Amino acid sequence: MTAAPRQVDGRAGTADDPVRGVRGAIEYCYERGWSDGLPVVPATEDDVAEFLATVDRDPDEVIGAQSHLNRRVTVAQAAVNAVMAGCRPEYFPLVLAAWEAVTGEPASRGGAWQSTSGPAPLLVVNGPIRDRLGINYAGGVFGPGFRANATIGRALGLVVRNGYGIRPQELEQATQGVPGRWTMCIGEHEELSPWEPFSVAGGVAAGVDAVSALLVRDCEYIDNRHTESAEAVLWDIADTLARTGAYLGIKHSTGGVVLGPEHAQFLAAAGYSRADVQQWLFEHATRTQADLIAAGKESHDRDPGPDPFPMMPSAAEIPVIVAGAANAAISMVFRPFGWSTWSGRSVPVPPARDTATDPQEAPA
Amino acid sequence: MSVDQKQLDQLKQTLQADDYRMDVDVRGDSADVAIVAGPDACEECLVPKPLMQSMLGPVLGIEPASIRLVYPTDGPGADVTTS
Amino acid sequence: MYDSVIDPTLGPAGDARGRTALAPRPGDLSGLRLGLLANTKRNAEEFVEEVAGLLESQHGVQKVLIRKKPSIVEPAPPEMLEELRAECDVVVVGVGDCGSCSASAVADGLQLEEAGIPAVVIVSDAFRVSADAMATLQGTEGYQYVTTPHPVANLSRQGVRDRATAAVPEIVALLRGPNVAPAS
Repeated sequence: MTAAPRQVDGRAGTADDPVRGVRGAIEYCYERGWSDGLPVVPATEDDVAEFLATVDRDPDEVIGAQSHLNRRVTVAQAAVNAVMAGCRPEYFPLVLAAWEAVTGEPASRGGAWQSTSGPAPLLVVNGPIRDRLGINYAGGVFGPGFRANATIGRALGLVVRNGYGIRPQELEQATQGVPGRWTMCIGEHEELSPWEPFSVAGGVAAGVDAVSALLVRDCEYIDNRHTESAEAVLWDIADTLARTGAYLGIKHSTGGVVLGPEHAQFLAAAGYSRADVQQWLFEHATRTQADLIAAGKESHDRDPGPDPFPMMPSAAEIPVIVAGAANAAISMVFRPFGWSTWSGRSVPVPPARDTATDPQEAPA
Repeated sequence: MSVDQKQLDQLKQTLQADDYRMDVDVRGDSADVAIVAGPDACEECLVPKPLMQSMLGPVLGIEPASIRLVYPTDGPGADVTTS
Repeated sequence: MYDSVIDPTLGPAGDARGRTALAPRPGDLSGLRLGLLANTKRNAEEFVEEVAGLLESQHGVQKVLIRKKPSIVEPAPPEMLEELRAECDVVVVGVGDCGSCSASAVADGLQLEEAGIPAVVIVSDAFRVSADAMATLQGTEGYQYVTTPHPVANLSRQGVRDRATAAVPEIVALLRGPNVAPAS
C-alpha cells in the first residue's frame, strides 16, 4: 500500500508493526455485519487467490442459489468466506465439497436456513484427508480445539450469512437454534470402527476422501458403560431415538447415532453389522399410541397407524456413524431435520492442487 | 400506513381458491398473519413464505420482515414442510 | 483505510437482477419446435398438451418435448431448463392453478426468456396475485401471461380442450407478438 493516511486511534497498523492494525481490520468486518459473532480473518485478494488456486474450478461458477431471495453464491465467494472463517487454503476443496453435500440434501432446500427449527449441518469426513488436514475424529470430536473441524463448518455458515444474506432475527427465524450450528464437522473414526466407512453407504469407495452432510436439530448423549448385553445398549439408544419431543405429530420422527468406538466394537463383537444395528433400532424405537396421546401428538388421520407406533421412518434411514475416543462407552443420538433424514449421497473431495505459493506455509 | 382492504380481499380470495383462510392481526408496525387450511387445502400450493411476506407487505402497509407468518404446516415449533 | 478487505456479501456480476428482457419473438410460428413445461397439478399436463395440439394443427409448430416439473413450488431445475433451451424454439408453461404453482410458473417463464426462448405462461385467473408478486420479485413487474378461469383441476378432457381453444389466440399473440417490454 502507498502512504495512505492511517488512523491514530490505536487500531491502525504501521509499516513496521502490522499487528497493530489487525484488531481494526477485524472491527471493520464486525461493523459491516460480516461476522457470525466470533472474529473473522479479513480477506484480501491475495488470500482469496491462494484459496482458489487449490481447486480446479471457475471462480464465477454459481454453486448455490436462493431463488426466492434472488441471491446466488459463487466459488469465489465461498473462498472469501472460507478465508474469513479461519480455514487454511488446503481446506478449500473440502469446503466446496461440504457445501455441495449440504446443498444436495433435500432438507436444505426451500427454507431450511430460515426455518424456525434452525437446523445445523452435521458434516462427516471420511478418508485419509482426515489426517492430512488434522480433522479430529477421536477424543472430543464434537468439541472445540481443532482448527479444521471448527473452521470448515463455519465457512459454510458464513456463505449462508454473507452470500445469501440470511442472518439471525432477520431472514433467519430460528426459535432457539441449535448449539454448534456451523461447527459440527467430525471425522469418522475409521481406524476403530468395526464397519466400513460411512461414506461407502453414500456411494464413495473406502479409502477415498469424502464428506457427507446431514441437517440436524439436536444431539443427545447415551451413557451406558456397565451392561454386558448388546441389546441393553441398543435399547438405551432406541429409547432416546423414540422420545416424543422430537416427533412433530405427523408422519414419523427421525434419528441417527454417532456411536463411540467402544459401543460400536461391543455391538460388532456381539455379531451386529451396521445394518443389524439399524434394524434393531428401527424395530424398538417405538411409542404406544397412549404415549402419543399423552403428548398431544396423536394422529388425526382416519388410520392413526400401528400400536406401538414406529418413530423412525425405516431401518436404512437411521444413519450410524462411529466417532470419538475409545475411553468410555458413550454415544450420541442426533436428530435429522425434515423428513428425508439423509440423501444417502456422499461427495468425494478432490485433492488440493499443488499451490506452493508460500513454501513456509506448505501443509505438513 | 394503512391496510388496503380491496387488495387484502383479493389476496384472501386467491388463498380461498386453494382452500386456505387468512387471519390478519395488524398491530402498529407489525402484523401477525395466520393461514389456516381447509379440508381440501393442498399443502404444496402455498407460495414460499418470503414471497407471501412480500405480497402482504404493500397490502398491509407493513415491512415484509415485520410480518409474522404462520402456515398450517408450522406445527408447534416446527416448520419442516413449509419449503 | 481497510479498502483491501474483500466484501463477502458481493455476489456474482448481474446478481442484482434487473428487468428480464423478453427473448426476440419469431413472428411466424410455422416449423418451430415447441416445448411444454407442465407442473404436477391435475390437468396441467392435459392443458398444455391440448394447447400443443392446436398450435400444431393451426400454426404448424412441431411439439418436440414435454417436461413435468418435480416440484410445484420451485422453478424448473437447471437441467430441465437446459434441455428446453437446447431442443425448443418456443415453450408453453402451465398451468399455474394454485398459489405456489402460479408463482413458480412465472419464474419459469422468466428463466426461459432470459435463456433466449420465447415462452408463454398460463395461469388461472384466481392466482393473478401470486403470479404478479413473483414477476415483481424477479424484477419484471407487469410481465404478461395468459389467464384461464379457475378452477382447472376439476375439468373433463373436453372442458380442458375448450379452455385451451379459448386461450390459444392470446398464447399465439404473446409468442409471436412484437417484442415490446411489458408495461410496468
